[in-house]
Amino acid sequence: MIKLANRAGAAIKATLSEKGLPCSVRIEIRSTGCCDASLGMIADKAEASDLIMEIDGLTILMRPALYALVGEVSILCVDDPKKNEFILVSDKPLNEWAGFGACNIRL
Amino acid sequence: MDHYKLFIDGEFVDAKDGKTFTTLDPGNDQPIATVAQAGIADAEAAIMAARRSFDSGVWSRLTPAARAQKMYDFADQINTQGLRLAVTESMDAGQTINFSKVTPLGFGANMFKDLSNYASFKFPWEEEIKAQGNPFDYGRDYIRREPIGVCVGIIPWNFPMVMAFWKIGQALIMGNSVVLKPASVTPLSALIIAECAKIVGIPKGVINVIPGPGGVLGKVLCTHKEVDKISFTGSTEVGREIMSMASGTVKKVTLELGGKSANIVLDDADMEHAIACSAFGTYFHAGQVCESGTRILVQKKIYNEFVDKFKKHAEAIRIGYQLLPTTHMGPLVSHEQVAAVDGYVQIGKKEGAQLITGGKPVEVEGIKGGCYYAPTVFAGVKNSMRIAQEEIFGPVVAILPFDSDEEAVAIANDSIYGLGGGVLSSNTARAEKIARNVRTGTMWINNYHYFGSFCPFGGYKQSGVGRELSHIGLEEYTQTKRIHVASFADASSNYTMTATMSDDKSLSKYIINLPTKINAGHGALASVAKEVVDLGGTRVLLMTDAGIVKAGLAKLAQDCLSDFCVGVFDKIPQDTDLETVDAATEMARQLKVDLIVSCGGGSVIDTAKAVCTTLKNGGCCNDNISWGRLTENPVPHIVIPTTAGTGSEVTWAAVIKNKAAGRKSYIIEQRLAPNVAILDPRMTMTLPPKMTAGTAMDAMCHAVEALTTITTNPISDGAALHAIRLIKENLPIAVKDGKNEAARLNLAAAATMAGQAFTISFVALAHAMAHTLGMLHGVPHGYACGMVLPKVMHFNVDHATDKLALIALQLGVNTFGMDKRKAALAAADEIEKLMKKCGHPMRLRDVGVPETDEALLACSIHALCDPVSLYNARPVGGPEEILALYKELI
Ligand SMILES: NC(=O)c1ccc[n+]([C@@H]2O[C@H](COP(=O)([O-])OP(=O)(O)OC[C@H]3O[C@@H](n4cnc5c(N)ncnc54)[C@H](O)[C@@H]3O)[C@@H](O)[C@H]2O)c1
Repeated sequence: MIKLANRAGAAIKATLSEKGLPCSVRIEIRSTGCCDASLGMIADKAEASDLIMEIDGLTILMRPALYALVGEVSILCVDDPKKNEFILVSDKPLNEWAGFGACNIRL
Repeated sequence: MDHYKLFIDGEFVDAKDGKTFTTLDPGNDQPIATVAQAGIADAEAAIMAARRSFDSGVWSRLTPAARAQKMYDFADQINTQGLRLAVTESMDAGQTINFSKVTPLGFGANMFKDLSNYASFKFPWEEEIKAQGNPFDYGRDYIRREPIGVCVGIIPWNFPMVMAFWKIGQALIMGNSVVLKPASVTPLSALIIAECAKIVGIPKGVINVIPGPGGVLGKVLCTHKEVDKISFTGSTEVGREIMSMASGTVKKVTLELGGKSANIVLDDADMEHAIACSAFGTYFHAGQVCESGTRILVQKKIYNEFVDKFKKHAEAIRIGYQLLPTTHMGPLVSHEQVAAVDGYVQIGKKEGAQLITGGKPVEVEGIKGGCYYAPTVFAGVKNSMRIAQEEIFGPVVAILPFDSDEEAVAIANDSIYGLGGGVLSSNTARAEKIARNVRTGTMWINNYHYFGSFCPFGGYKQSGVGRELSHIGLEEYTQTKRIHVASFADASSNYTMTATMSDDKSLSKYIINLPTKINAGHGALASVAKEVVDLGGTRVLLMTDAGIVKAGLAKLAQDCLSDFCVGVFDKIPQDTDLETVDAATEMARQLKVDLIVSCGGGSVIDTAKAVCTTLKNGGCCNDNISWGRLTENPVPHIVIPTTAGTGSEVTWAAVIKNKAAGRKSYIIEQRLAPNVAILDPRMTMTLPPKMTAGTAMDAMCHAVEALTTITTNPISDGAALHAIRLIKENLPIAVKDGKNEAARLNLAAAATMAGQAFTISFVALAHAMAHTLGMLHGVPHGYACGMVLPKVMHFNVDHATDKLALIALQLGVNTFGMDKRKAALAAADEIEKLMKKCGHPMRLRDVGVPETDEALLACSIHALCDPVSLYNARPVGGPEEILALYKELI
């Protein structure tokens, strides 16, 4: 369901623990205005119907409908270590700009 | 099924790698066309075709009028293809036919014609800079606006045809070449527009259209070195990335991004109109509009009634296939978009907002598939909720209550966006007040989604950068070039160059502009009425001061003005100030004065000059402290000087005290020179002997400094030298016998000539030091000038030796056998002798200046900051040099 590339897992955990949050994020669709929505992450707890994946102590959640829509999601950490940003790409891209922009974790 | 190709370099071509994709009708999920899918190689080919066409000048160097003729043809062709465009757009993007059928004419052809016409007749392609705002150097400066070059347009799927018109139209009208990347889900209308361009003969390469995946093409379009500008409409996340990519090659970027606009319904709004307008503001094109008013803020008093009625209205919206004329709201653009919208609805419910209606995908009778979503209303929304902060881009509205107008503004502004917004009210003034305070690019009052070719569109905050449409949008498609043509093609005429890079600080250029007519002689005062008539004056304000009134001179002038004089302003202090000018201006405005006559010394004349420019240019005196800014003449001004000293009757300057700043400010403008100066010796006869000497020493100081500044020149030298001779010969006579008319007239002439000399050549350190004594210690200007002058002459002896030696000759010093330096020093001594002979004060204590180190150091620093010290023959090193000079006066 999820692939974590380079230092993505550690970076996500570091971001969450910095804010004292449990190591659990949800993959969601979010809109950043005008037209194309994109995949993003939000700190969240699991719900009954969620698909759940644990990787090295990090829990990643996804609603089944979203998984059906986009398929497997790969999470990459943006090259610049000063930026706490991630690029999410999916098997079935959400739209033509998928993977172009970076997102941060909504806390 | 139709197949559409890329449009590159004037030809429709397949993608280099042969890839294609299928575009779907979101109303029924059916494929409608196959389209060539551009890859990186195609994007590069399109960019290079645009580059070649731009550099060839085939379009970019046409006159705006010639381009306009082609754009009119283009517009007509769009109208011809209007129905095809409308139907295709509806099927491709899901727009209702009722909207898409007006798009080609309303948002395409008409906009092309409007803005082309504006560009050829009204746009300021070239603009003269009449006032450069550089007081030191001269030249002609003008602005040229030129096309930028290769412009990339990247457009979204919500209004593909309108956006294609905007990006292609504005770029072309301003002479650019364009590469347009339409959204992959809605590529067709842009390709039909390209067909129109080909049919009417827009030169090849000027328009290129390359549908293809943004994630792939975006990088090459935003980083290619041959791209000069990117205009992007789309999501903030992508816009941010584009901006950062474009920064690598520093491209010009305009971005039109998201919004979460507030539509504010006041308690005095017409309820039926408010409901309909807010629903249109939200549900038009199923809410897939970046400026949609998706936060409806409703005043508490009418909140419940509004929510009830709005719910009913939303439920009555007819959802249907977009090509049916009965449909109010068609599909969303894709199933992914339906998922995104539905995701937010779930978030809203989880956040505790109250779902009033809608909130789910719907099916349309008779259609299998399609991306339809019910008009959705959330009430009880808090502005901090995600559904109030994030742009959902679907038919979902959040209704929020507010108490006061101020609270409505605060909620509206509590957003990272600032694109659109509205106010619904029956009180326009109240609505406008709110509209002004909302930080957003467009505010509609009792309306929504109203666009026009001449109305700018764009966002504050994270809604974007730059504007589309109107003259402001057109300007975004140009580069600005300033062209300077030096008036003096000579390095030694450039002040900054000589001041910084040359050991010889003197400037070789000079400008003589002495427009003042001079009527001089016994009884010349009588000419004033004739001069008023010649200048077209009908209502004259006579400006003077109490001393002149007391001496009976103001009455003489007033009598000569006869009925022209509609008022007398006489509250002018010695060394005038901003407040005095403002009071006089107010009186002149009330009396509807069209000409000023000043009768007095420099304080009166300078006040009048400042009034003349303030009357002409508006505001208060402080608004009109300018140095080389005026492009039009002030109100006409006739001067009757009553001292023979300042020369202000012919100069470009006015000296006004700014008490708050603790400095004298200068207005220095060639246009400030009075129209007429009337030198009537009878007007100076009442001047007491000591003041006669003081004011004459002001003139002496002008003449000496005009001869020794870095801008000295033969013409001003002539006037200055003769002025010195006249003062030397006539001052002792006038001091002894104030009624000696010949001596008085000669002194008046000397003062005027010295004024002419220094208005050309400027004054320098002696004046800087004198202004300081006047400002900080109230020393009358002439006394201050006289006292410091010989000391400054000594200071300058090695930098103005020849001129100072010449002055010695004019002063009657027998220089036979003296070397030039000695002669120069003798000139200073001779001036001191003259002052002593005439009873002029010689020491600081004589004029009440404290002689303490502290006081004199303050004076030295003040004088160093006076701009005229920049013109001194010997560069002034630091305050200690000036301090030493002040100390010589102890
Ligand atoms: N604009 C210029 O080019 C320029 C040049 C030099 C000086 N100034 C300014 O001019 C001002 C000084 O002017 P000023 O030296 O002519 O003095 P002034 O205008 O300040 O007058 C001084 C006093 O003399 C009285 N007075 C003037 N003429 C009289 C007469 N004929 N009979 C009796 N009393 C008379 C006045 O009522 C006043 O009380 C200063 O503020 C100075 O900065 C301007």
